[in-house]
Amino acid sequence: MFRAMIRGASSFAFVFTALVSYHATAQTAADNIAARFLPADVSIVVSVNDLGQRWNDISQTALVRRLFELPQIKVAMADKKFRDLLIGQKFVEELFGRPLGDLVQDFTQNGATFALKGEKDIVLLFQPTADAFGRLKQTLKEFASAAALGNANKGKGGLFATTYRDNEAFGLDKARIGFANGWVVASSTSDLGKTVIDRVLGDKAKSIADESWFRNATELARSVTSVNRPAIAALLNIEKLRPGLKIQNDRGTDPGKELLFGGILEAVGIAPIAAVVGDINAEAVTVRIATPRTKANVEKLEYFFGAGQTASAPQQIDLPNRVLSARWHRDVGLFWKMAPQIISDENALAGIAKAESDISTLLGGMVTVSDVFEFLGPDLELVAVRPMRQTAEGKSTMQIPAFGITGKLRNTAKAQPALRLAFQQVISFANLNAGAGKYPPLEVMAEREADTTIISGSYIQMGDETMYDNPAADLYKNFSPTLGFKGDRFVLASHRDLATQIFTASEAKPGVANSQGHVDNTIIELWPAELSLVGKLNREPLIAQRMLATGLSQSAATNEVDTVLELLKFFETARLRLLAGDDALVLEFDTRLSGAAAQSK
Amino acid sequence: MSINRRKFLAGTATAAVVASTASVPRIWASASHRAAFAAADRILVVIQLSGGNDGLNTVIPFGDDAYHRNRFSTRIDKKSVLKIDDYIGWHPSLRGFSEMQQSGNLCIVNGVGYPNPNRSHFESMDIWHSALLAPPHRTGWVGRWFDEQAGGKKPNPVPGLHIGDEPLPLAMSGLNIMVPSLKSIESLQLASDDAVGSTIDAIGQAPDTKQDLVDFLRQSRNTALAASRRLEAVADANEIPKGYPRTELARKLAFVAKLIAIDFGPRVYYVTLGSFDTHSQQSEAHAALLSELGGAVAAFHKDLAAQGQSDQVLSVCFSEFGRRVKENGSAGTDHGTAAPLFIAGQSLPTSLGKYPSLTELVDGDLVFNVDFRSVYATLLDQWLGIDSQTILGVKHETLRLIS
Amino acid sequence: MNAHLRLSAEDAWSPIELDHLTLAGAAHLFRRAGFGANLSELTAATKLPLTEVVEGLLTTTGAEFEQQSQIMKTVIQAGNLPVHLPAWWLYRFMQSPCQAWEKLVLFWHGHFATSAAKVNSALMMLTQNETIRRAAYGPFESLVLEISRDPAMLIYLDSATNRRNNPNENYARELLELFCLGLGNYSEIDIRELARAFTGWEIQSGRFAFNQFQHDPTLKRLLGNANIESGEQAVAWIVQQPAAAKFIAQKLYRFYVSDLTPDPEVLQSLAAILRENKFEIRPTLRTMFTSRIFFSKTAYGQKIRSPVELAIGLLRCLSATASPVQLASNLSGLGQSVFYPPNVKGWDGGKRWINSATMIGRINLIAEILNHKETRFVGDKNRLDQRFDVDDAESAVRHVESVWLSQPLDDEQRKKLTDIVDKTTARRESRLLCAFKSAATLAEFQLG
Repeated sequence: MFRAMIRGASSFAFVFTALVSYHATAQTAADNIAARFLPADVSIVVSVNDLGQRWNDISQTALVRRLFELPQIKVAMADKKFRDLLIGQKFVEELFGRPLGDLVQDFTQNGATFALKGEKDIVLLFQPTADAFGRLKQTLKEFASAAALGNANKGKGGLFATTYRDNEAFGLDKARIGFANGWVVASSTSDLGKTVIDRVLGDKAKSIADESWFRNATELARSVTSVNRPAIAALLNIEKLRPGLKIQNDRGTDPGKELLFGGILEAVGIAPIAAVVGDINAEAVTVRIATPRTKANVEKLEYFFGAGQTASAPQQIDLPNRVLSARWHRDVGLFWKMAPQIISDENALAGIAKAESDISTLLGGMVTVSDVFEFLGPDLELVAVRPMRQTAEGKSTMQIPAFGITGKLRNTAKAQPALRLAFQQVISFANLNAGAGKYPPLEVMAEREADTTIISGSYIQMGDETMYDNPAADLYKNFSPTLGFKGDRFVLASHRDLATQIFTASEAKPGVANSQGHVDNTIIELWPAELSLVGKLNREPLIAQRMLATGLSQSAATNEVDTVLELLKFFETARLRLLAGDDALVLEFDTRLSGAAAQSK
Repeated sequence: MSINRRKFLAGTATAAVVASTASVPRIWASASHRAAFAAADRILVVIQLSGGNDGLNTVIPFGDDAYHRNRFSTRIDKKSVLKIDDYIGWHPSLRGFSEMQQSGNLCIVNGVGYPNPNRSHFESMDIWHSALLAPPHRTGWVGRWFDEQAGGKKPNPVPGLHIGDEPLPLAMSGLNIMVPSLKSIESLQLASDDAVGSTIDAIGQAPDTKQDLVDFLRQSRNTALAASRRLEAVADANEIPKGYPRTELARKLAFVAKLIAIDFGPRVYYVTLGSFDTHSQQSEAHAALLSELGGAVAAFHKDLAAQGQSDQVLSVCFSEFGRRVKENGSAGTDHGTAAPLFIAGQSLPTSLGKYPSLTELVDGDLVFNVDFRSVYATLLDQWLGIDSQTILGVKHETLRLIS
Repeated sequence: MNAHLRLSAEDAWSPIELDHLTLAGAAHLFRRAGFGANLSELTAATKLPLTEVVEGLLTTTGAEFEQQSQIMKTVIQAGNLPVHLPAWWLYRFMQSPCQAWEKLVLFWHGHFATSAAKVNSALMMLTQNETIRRAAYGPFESLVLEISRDPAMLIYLDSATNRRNNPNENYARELLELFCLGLGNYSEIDIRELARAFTGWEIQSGRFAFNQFQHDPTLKRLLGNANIESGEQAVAWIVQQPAAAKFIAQKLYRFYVSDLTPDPEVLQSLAAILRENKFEIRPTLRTMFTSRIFFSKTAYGQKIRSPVELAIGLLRCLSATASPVQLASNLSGLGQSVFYPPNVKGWDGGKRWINSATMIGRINLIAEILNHKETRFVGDKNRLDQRFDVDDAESAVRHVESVWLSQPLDDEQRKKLTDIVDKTTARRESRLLCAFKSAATLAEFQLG
């Protein structure tokens, strides 16, 4: 269900349904009065706040307005399903005489709470303005009597009126909606609705607020947000949900996935509860997923979280024109060494053994992959910046961002010569191909100054491109492969200039904990506007690739590419980070719109 | 929709289809008539070990000092080998082969190679595939047989099948027939689309029209649909069945076993495993590959036995060359020459050919004792019942493989 | 167009006397000369004189389209991505305004089969493709000469290593056996002599170069002519052989007319037409596409569609486009990966396309293309019914018959299909696609 929500989240259809069906109140689930009305055995509690107001704000932003101008969206809007939705919206707006956003705000001024019981029983409760409360009841009453008239003729079911403990209620098939003490309670079954209304009417019965998992999850949610009324807060009893969630535990089958996400997968596999807090406004979208930290498999996950379990990724190196930066605390050498304990799948282990042999062959055999990984310290940053080109060779048809990985060496005295040897081997290997006329050969140059050494390859300009089998194959012009050392710091980069920029930039500092005592274990940041710029440099190749991938005409493909590049510019940053604290793990996604994008009309 | 199709399978329409396509040879052979397999029913499974398998670390001459001298860091010690006799033994990862050999189901052909060995992967592979020592390598040794039978009276519509992502191997290419190359079992399953499903259910066997192409297509369609249904009936197609290891080779061979179980038709199946090109840090990578090989082949033949088809299938595992006797400085080995080849099946001799000498070398390489074309000739003449001379051009000596 | 009358060899290629094409005739012509056309295009063709329709098909214009194609070429070359070549060509098949030209290039590609798997250079493969496209309609001799100097071919058939002291006979053998004369029309000695004539035809920096130091300048005795010195002379002499015209006539017949074995005399007279036209391909095709035999039962429905014809035909019938990359992968599974022919003989075609795996694959392909999210229809998918005037299930089935099937369905089949379309979809706009998917499971759907 959760996955379906994410899938739908981007579409208007989702927003619309969310507005109509869930609605909004005032606080986080923590202080939610509604929690006291929910039976103790619900396993998911979701509260939403100010959706109407938020909708009104967001729908006025330049980004959303531009989205609705897109031909693709227009085509989608011409679809029958979408037209039906719009008709529904108009109908509701006219019925209540208010625009949708205001209407939603009326209904959910005090938030709305949604809960799941068992596998599929759901209940929704909210406390509208007195006026909206009355109007909704009145409308349902009219529908019910109209339906009753129809029934008299056709003998079929439909909306019907009923009462529960003298409070008005309505039913449709098994679902019920009841009005009590200013609260509206909608539920998928009559029984569930009744238990909630009982509590609304003041019955003393055990509620979810008495459950320890709920209190813990509430605390967890509160610890990861400073916002008073986040758009959405969901508390999940994972232990109870796990059998139904069918989380595919294919951990230990894919070394790459394990290296990147092992710590998260571990947490998902054993966490008893989780809290999701999401906030959205005209400037930013932030979602945080938190689980309590369990200290199982400490040793197995040392490569991921460090020996103390809260090791931090290094701080960002400040570079111009960044497209992407990914920083980790990740002990690759330890991972490689401990692979047999970490990876359970024999197939994957065999893959590692084969990779070790294959890459070691490429490295010339004197230095092995294990050696190389062991020399790398765990503080790593991968960075990509605007394309750099070899000055004299001209620009290539496709301009690839310059990228590099940097970190600290372990055992510098041994590491430096070993890495240099491996680097030379790779260059020699490339030059074998060059000798066969594939591209120009690389000439290696070593620059030394104080504690800095930069070894870079640059393509020898042969002056005559027709020497090559494929003179048009000019991808190589993006590269000037470089290995650099400065003291115990290393850089491996696609371009020499990036290596020097990294060394000139302020020294990467060790990470520090935030106010909650959490550190960044992993932080991946993307600068969409810069990405858009790279896209613009590669506009023709992107269009061509789109044509090959879709069969679209050049003009249609151009339109698509331009639109994506334009929309990217609306975003300032997009960031995914994994925060590790002593007692919690938090996965955070946030994206910030650029000022222009957020501007409303 | 697939339920509809299953229902259809059980229904009378199938019987009609079966009856009227009796002229299509293999597909319809009923399982109960399988007791003794004539040469015309026998199947060959070719398992290619791409990249050059290190024969010396597969069938290990642990009793030879020269082995230990030359293989300083890649050698397998005496205690670990699975002994065959006092001189040679299996790599410890090949327990599957060792057990098969002990029960007479696996034969080692020692020292297989050819004169003037070529050490390029591509060229040596072409030589093995075409069974021609010199170019042009236009067709494969099995492909030429496919060509031959395609021109015959009752050509098999699918005489061979290749399973894998790589392009169709040259060995299986003829000039006059297109042998299918399937990525996975899904290639033989009908799309789950209601229009497709219901039309197939509704439109069964159509009468002959006496128009050559129409009748040919109708027959092919019915054959294909019937095969697809039978496959559906065998097992849950996409799962690796119990008893097989969870490896890629096992997945492919399990698919082959299913196709054999439904009498899909091919006489030759082709799969590959690799890369065996272990120039450095060989030990673990090689062990993993051999483990995948031994585990999958053993499981495959066990599965065939359970299907009652163990005497219908022979598997042969070859590589384009072995590796040099002396290891290199990177704990690996470089391209060499002769190497053992393995044949799995029922009631086979434990070994054929002499183990090559580790001291009488040419350019530091082993000297072959058995020409690979003799192995082909043996498989063609003795197993598939095809005159090897017409396929290979000349008469090669055959081995005493099948008594 | 009397179906039962067997055409004599002279009558076979004489112009068919009719004012206008029938719809079935137009569908047949577009399918064979090109890949197919939608109902409105076919209807328009029935209103024009046949010669005008054929002339329209045989044109070679379209600068704007070439520019689009060039954009994709640049990227493929820049990355040297031979794996994208099939997608590039499929894009052309799908969208080129000169579909007969593309079809002819495909014919020659299968004839002078060269595989990117061995050549491994996007640039060389594209260059060969352009060379063939430029020379496709012209005289056969120029085409052979250009191909003999084509870098991709030089690599594919090892002629780049054909040296004076160590001639490599590979190209010489295939030129005689597969490109020009056919088995039985030359001797092993001719192969050796021809190989000598081609010595020194090399590649330097990816281009053809004649290396006179590697060329054997002595005279060669080729096919009874002792006065051959150069490769150029050899090609001219080979193409003049009577066997050459017959060989090419037979290949053209199989590609354009029928999979079934032709009457030898009919072939002889096609060979004569080739010679009369000085071995020029365009006038020969013009004669073929306006001939009596082309519009007779000998040709109608007597070809099994190649995978490319199947997929592109479907898209052209519906004025749709699909993902070329996805299509390339599908077609490779069906045995036709353009730029990657299986061997030097190219695709054998005909019944050889069909086996149990490809039969299932062909049925699935149609459904997959029509259900794929990247498949787009000119205008709006939801308006297909209006565009092609399809209102109920029966009209959907009849539409498929008229644009796709070479023979009408019998009443029972039509009824069954109509019922299925009726039952499977209640939506008016999806009936046509449903009818295609449904009809694709019939054996006859594979004929074109």
